[in-house]
Amino acid sequence: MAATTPTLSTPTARGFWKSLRGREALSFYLFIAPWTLGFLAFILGPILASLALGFTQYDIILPAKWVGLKNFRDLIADPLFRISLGNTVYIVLMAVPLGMVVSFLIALLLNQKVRGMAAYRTGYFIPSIVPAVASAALWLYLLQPQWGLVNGFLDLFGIKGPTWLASTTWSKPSIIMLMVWASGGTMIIYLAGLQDIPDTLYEAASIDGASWLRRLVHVTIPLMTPTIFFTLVMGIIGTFQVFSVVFVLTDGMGGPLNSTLVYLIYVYRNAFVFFRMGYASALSLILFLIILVLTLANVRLAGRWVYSEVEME
Amino acid sequence: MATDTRVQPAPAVAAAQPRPLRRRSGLMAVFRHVILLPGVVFFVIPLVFMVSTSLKALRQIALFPPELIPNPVLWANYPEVFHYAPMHLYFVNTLFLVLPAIFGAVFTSSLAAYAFARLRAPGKNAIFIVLLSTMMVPAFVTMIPTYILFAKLRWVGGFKPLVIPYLMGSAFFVFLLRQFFLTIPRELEDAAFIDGSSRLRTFTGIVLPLAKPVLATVTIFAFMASWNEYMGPLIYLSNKKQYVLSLGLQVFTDAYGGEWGLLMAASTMMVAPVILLFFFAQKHFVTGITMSGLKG
Amino acid sequence: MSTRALSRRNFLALSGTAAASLVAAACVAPEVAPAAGEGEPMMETIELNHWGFSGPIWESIWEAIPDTYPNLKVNPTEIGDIVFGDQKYLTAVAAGTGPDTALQGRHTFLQFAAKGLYYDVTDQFDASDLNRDDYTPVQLNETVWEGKIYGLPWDTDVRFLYWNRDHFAEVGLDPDQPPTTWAELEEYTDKLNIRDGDEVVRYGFVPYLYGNSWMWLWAFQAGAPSLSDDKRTVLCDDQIWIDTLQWLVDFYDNYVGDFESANSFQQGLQSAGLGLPFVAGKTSMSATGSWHVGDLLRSPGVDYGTAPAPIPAGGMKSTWSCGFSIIMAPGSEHPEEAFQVMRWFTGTPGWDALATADVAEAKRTWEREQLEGDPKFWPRLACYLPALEHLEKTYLPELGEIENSTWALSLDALRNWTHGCGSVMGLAALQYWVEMDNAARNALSKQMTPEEAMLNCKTLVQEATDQAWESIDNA
Repeated sequence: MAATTPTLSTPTARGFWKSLRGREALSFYLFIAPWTLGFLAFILGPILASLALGFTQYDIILPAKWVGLKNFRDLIADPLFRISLGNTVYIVLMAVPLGMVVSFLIALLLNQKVRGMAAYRTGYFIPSIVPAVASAALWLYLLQPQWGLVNGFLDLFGIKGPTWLASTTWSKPSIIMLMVWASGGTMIIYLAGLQDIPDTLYEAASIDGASWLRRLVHVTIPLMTPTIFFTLVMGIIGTFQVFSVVFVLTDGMGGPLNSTLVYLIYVYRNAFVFFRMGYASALSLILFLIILVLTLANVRLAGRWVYSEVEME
Repeated sequence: MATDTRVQPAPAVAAAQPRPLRRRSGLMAVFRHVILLPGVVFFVIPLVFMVSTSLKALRQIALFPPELIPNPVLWANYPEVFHYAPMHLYFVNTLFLVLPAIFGAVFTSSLAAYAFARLRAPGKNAIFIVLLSTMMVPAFVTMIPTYILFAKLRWVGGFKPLVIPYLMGSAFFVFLLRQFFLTIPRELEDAAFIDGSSRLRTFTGIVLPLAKPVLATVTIFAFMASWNEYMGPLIYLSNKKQYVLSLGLQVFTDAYGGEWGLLMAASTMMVAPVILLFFFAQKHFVTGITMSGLKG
Repeated sequence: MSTRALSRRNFLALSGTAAASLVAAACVAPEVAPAAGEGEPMMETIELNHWGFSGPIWESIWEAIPDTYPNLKVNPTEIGDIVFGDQKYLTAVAAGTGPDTALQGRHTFLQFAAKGLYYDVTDQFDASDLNRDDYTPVQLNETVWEGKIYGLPWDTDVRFLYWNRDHFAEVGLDPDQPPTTWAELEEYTDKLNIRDGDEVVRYGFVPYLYGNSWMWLWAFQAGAPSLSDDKRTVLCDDQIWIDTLQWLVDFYDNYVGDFESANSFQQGLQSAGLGLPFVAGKTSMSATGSWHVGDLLRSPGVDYGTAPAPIPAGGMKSTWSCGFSIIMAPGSEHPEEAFQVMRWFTGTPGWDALATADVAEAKRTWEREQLEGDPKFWPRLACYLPALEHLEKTYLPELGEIENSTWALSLDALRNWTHGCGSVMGLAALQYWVEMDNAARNALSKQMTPEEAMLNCKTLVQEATDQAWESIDNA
């Protein structure tokens, strides 16, 4: 990282470090030094190595063999690459906004002063605490078409429910439902953010006679934009890498008929089931680039809507 | 640093206004419970399901449709877990992973987060993007290079690979904390800084106390992540004396495990501390700026 | 030792330390280790690391090894998944920090052995008191690559038909007469199906989806080949495979209903271990593994029989078996002792120690689950025939008639009419497994014709197999 020794080449380097700005910059590097050290020691090398493996044929056992762009050419012709990317994009487009909206609403609900609120908050957080095997087994029961509770509920309204996880049409929505249900992590991030908003701001607004909705739109949401920005960026990074939910629900196969074959299951399958680590690395490199471009776009656009977002060039 | 002027953070207003008495009509309270209760039931089902299964015999677990009420109720599943997996020993080992992870999240990550939120320096934005990009490469492909690295350091077979990297903070927490630090009014720090307080003292004395809600959040996340971490302990630990909880549970899911009642009993025991931690940590979500900052 | 294996080990020894001992181990022909007994003078204790299953049963087995080899101490560690993936072992051996011995799944055995991931123990095997016909033949063969033995087969299983005698009586079928042909299976299924309007109350029989037999069982019975003798050509495009899949498709059309409903009825529950359709009485017949006898002992009340799965006209009695084998890692510094561990674990003393621990567990389970009667223990099937005999003599007399006849059925299959699960799939075993599953599901849900599905399987698995061979031929 050239960034750690940035301006030494400029003629005014010595002067710079003595200036107020220079001292601030020095503080910056000192503050991030522990993380940077960890990054250089443990993270950077393996990431570069794994990306480089994308240009090799590597079965973990025999030494990696350089094959240039072969993996990427194979990838273009590989229908499962397209299917898994398509499934993942579908899930990202649905689960990220849904998860954000639902978590935000629940956080608003849990940000009141009500007797027993500690218990309520804990309750809403439970799906993200319970081990994936337990909640997956539960969902398999809930979504069982004949006697599962979900279709039983729909039946009350005379709707014949679908076969959910066994249906190629409904399998992805089933998974998205589970993801949204278990997005307690996002919920508590919002809750922490809401708590950071001074009560007095609301009270000032109340005195002005602003309605609940107006307060939400003009006070709460603007002040929450840094948090919302965080959940958006992380939602995209995390959901593109959705894995364990799908893995446990579909017994690792991404079925039925590859309808829930998400990108990381395909990476995993290539890496540790088919032992095609080179190909898995090539897939990962593509994923990396996709997420990177989306994140850069997010960061670039942040200045337009995120309150107090620092300028990003 | 360009501050957006569309929204005025209003610490000054906040300090000036006396806090009106909060009136809550009984009806309103009931209404809130009516909304909150049904929702919470839906979210608590997995816990109920887990506890119910943990009290069942295998012959009842095999039934479907499943029955909610265990019959007979096998309380004996709980003590039996310890016969298969000494959870109390694994608990102590797990703390060896959890505590450094919390330290890394709360201290190391927040230091870096503060720098990214407040301090100006050449190359900062590029470094920030690099930080974010460490989260974009799937762990499956970095696993082997990372393992080889630790093997060369001769750290494999012990806790070091599961502790030291976590002490150095993580991108997720740096990013999360940075977003929260951005919302803290600058004026508070500037005043202290101008008074001659050092950056570090401003940070520990003013910023960290203001950030309690998010630090509570980060603590919970760090705790949960290392509490449940499975793959790392599986590949790095090679001695059952070092086993952590997640690895201990494997005895119930091995090819010849299949003891679902015991697995669920063990999972319930594993989840209980997390629930308790959350229950007690959540009250820190209410100590925001107004109380700990300006009034304190 | 082939040069391939040597250069391969040099690569593995990334950490450097193991290299010297490895070369030594590879060059020095292992002397016949006199099976150390009580008469031996005191020797230094040698500690070996074994990666396999964890928990009290496995710990107590290894505590018994000094009874035979007083100088050995084995430290067992959990290995994680070794059936569909093998992260811990692969990662460690790639970095040169593997254990001395490890349990390994059978699907991927040849694939790993061919690439030098296991130590060649042929010389040690031949120098020991072991004979090749001491093992169930198919399972020993699953550890042999190009004439060399790379491990010892430990346990195995068999797949066959279970039927619910009460259900048979209910619909007027003779409870003592299971179907023996595909035609009879169809006829019986039709009688045993119970529907309430659209709703299925009970399935007579659901091939493929319910139970653990997959398409392999039915195709083997029809005489389908899976691989050429040189293991280079994938044969899942053979007409017999296509016909077998066509039969499955027709079976669903006529007796099961649509694939999606049958799948949704049980999806995931079975694989999650929650809800076994046969044990729960939701299906009257099931083609599945011998281990379910143990589940049925713990779920009394199901009156069942077992028999070879029905065969097609002109077919042959057949089934398939899987299980685990124990191997020595190429980096072991104590190859002699590691072989003793393998020999002991798969031999009668190891099986006896396991069974003793299992019986103690059964007692605890019976008490904890408040089951009536005496604790019952269904032994796993050992590959080492003297151990199998020992288990039979010790434990089968305590079991009932159905368990005894099922045991006899399993042994008959193991000796005479079973297939393996690794050697039949070759060097891209898991691709073969996954693509065969995809083929069946595509055809059963009418996305492809059976022919298209099997041709697709052939293309993909052949490609993976070619690639695996290419890397071996070039190495």
